[in-house]
Amino acid sequence: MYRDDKWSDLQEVGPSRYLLPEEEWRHFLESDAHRLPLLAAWADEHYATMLLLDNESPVLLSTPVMKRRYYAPSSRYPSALWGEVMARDLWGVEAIAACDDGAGFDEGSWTRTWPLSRGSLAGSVSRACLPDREAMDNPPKYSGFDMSFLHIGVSGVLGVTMNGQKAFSLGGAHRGLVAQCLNMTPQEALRLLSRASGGGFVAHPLAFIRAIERAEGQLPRAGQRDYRLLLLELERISLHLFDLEQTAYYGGIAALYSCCGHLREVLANLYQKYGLPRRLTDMVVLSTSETESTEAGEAALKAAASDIVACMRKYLPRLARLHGFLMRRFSGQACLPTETVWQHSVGGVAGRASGRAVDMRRHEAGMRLDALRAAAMHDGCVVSRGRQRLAEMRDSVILIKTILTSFALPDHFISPVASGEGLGVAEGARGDVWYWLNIENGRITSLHVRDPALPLLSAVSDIMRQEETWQKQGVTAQSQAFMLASLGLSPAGAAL
Amino acid sequence: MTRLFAFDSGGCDGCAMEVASLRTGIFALENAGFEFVSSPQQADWLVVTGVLTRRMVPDLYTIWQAMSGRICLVALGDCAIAGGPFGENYASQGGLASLSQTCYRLPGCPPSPTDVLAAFRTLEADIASASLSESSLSAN
Repeated sequence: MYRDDKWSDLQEVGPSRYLLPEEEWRHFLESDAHRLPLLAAWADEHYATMLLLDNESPVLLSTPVMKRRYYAPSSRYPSALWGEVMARDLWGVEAIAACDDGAGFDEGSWTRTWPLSRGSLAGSVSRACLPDREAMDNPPKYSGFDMSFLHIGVSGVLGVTMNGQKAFSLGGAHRGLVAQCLNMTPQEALRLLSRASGGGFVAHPLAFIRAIERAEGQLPRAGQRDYRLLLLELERISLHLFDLEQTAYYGGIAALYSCCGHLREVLANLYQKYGLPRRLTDMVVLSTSETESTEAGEAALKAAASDIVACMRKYLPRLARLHGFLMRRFSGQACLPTETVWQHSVGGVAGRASGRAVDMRRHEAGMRLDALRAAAMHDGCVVSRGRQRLAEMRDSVILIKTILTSFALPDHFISPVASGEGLGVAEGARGDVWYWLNIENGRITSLHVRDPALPLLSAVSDIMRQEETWQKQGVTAQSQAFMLASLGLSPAGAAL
Repeated sequence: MTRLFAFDSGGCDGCAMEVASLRTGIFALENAGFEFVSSPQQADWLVVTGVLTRRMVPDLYTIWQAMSGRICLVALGDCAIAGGPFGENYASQGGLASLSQTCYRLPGCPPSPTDVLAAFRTLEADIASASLSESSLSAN
């Protein structure tokens, strides 16, 4: 059943989505006959679903949720755990035989139990989480407190401990984004999802509108497609610079972090010069809503991109020399082993620097493949990730230049059939962002998001539990921030 | 030197990234009389970014308690001020406006590090002039 003709015998219930009865779902998870990597798992009150890669093509497997239970994908794939935790906290469905049943997002702070479930209840918030205006204005005398909950240096809310019990806490970053998007029109949801993560002001909305277009059977015109490709590459350069800057900052390398910070600010100023937002926020728009004003935006973006190519060509070789010279002493530190990266399907720079050479851009319509030259590395250490970022920035510069010289190049992709269900992907700077959704009568009825931070959290948690491994690599609590910054880890897109 | 403690209370991370960039030197933060500290106990101002999630309310409260100076609570970005596009729901409290008086509000999505630094300077000047007025009143 799970050989080359594996999918033909199954009931196809959506584009590349197959339905497995409960027994077959369990058999699939327990079977050794396949080695399909899992990208994400999610569940709501109706179905549990796994997003798998079959020869770099996405395949979705679903099974009905019976009596609010389903057999846990984490029994086979540890990276499915966060999806199961989210399903439990948001919809109240339990994963049987899950590899961990620890605390999740709620942590007693939400005003509703199972907020997305039909059986949602007004919950009692634990007293510790209740806001107290009087106490904020007139706080009692401080008598000492535990700092361990504070994030340790990476941007965002991330409680990290190394006690072997629980590595990460995402509850503080959960904003109820999915709940807000349900029953919205795509246009309404786009504004929210454009702010899903600062590590994907372009990648998140782009994956979303690709899913919308798939569901509605649309194909963007060649100019729109290239406009989006430009945005994605410009964001990649800016975020790679940010991650290099933060890594160098926690490594104490002033020459490198000031150089990266300066260059990132030069790019932001170039956007502003052409009237574009500094971080390209709200630049991704639905193909149906594009008007003359976005055509003006297209012209401004092309002008800014042209200037950025010139700027990066000047500074990138200097940055690479500086990185090679100053980061050498961190070689071999804070490694993500190749095996772990494949096991958790870690994407982006973190994955490619550890030997998982998967880049979803290679399957995009209109992609100029000859510009993507950076090969994967295998060391998986801090220095490798830096080198990978530099190589990918070089590719981005080449790609932007190629797109500018062949803008709106026609391709031969065929419009998908409108089915009301869509899966979209965008290869962001920190990895592949996936959106799966359903639309009925122009409103979103289901939505699941896979941010690249999820497999990364899962992989790093795995390593942190083995404290000895970290100690051998010289990773102490003090240098965690250095490692996490080099991974480009942000909880915003994962917690939603 | 005014000592700042940055606290991200949820949200998309965009404002927190701008604050992180502000720390790394190119904006001459220290020349302007400011420095970020790693403990709230050493801090004069609490700089909050991101929408305030309900899970982070007690943490914010604890940090505020820990600040011995507690001169100023700064809401940085649209989300920290009033919840931004996320607003209030089962997981989100909205912005700091729902919880406390803020000394200074800097809108933006996200505000640039240059704007943030300019806002710090304005606030510093406001506090200095307010202290001056107070001491003049006392002298009179």
